[in-house]
Amino acid sequence: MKKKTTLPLILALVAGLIISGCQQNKRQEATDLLYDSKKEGELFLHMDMVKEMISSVSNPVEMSSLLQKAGVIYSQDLLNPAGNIDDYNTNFQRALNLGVYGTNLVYMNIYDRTLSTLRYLSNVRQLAADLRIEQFFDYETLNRLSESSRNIDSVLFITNTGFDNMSRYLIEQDRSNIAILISTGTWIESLYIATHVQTIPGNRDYINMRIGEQKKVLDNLLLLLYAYREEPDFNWLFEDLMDLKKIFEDVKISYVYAEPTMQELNGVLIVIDNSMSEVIISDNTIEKIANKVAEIRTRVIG
Amino acid sequence: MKKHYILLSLIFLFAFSGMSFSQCGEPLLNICHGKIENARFLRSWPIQLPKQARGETLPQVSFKMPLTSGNTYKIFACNDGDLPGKVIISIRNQNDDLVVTSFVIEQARHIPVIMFPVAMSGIYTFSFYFENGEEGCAVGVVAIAE
Repeated sequence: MKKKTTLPLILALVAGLIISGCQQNKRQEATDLLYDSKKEGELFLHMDMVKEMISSVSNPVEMSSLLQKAGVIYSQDLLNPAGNIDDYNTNFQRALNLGVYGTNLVYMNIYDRTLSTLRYLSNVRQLAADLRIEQFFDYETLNRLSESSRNIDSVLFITNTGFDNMSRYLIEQDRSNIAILISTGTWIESLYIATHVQTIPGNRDYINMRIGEQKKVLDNLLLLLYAYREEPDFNWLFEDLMDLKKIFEDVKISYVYAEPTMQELNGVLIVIDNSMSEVIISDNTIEKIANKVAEIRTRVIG
Repeated sequence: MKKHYILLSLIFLFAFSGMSFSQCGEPLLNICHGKIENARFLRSWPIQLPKQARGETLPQVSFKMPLTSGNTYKIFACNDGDLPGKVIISIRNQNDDLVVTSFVIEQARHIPVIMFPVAMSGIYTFSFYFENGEEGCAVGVVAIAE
């Protein structure tokens, strides 16, 4: 008797779960097979190497903080319109644009545009759900914290750790291709914003030098993308970034190393960096970088 | 009935082994977050390494990160007190020159916080390992001083 009542109950529960799952996922299924892109016998990057290299891609917090410090005025027009999300139907597009919207979210937060972030936060949540990695963001807390500009550092902490954990998880799940695409989207968007912001000439030089320094970051990013260059979609992205690399060849960076000295104060070790680096980049090269990155970004955001 | 007890025990065993592993990551970072103070969080890395085996090289893990000239970075780590290992951070520039380490060998002393005002932009390598090759769990944090 007991068994007779338990079985229908379990079946009803399972059916309920399936129905609720279907209702939550109204968005279109991905039209590519990026999840299954790892094939036996093919050469892929070792997990530890990807983990070591992926953090060499600049953090959007740093670039946005730098722009704010350089007196750059906030511009909403530079962001990927939130409504574009409906056009992202492949995992390739979704991963890249998760990085793009994540960067937009950071940019808005750094500039205290906390109330405007809600749609972008929702987009990050949706794209992460599409890629089955939504568990790394505490959206309820982020939504609540976004109501006040006093919580910016906490918002950035949760956002950043969410992206870091997501990246580690993807790499450990043999989905490094998705992790690399998210980082690539982040990098392209940060560089796009940095090359297109309006500022006064004195600050422009400072920003241009930081743009020039991205030469090394691009080299590392290309090393990561190289392993996937033969895959559909990855090939155009790789080739476009290789074209960008050719433009970056005109950037000259010199390093002078001198041993650092140390000073300890109240348990804090202060490193006196006696080394220096110099970046030489012409206005013409900056313009070429800006145009090329805009072209790549247009293909990314659609 | 006996089977049920075994099954329940196994479920508890898995559940608790998972909990002890997870304490090494996120909860430790949340505790460590308090040390950021007036800096802006940039990146964290969970570090979990086994005890160095006899005759084997020291277990360590490395990550690369770009540091920008003109910025001051606050670098520190937090250890999980349940394991004996105390983490040591060493930072190398892109030419592999050692810039700084969080351990003073002469005094066998750990430095809790490193402030690094960078004058040479580049991609730096952050390596983490545990003193005396002990088993350990830690989280390394890089923040940007405001």
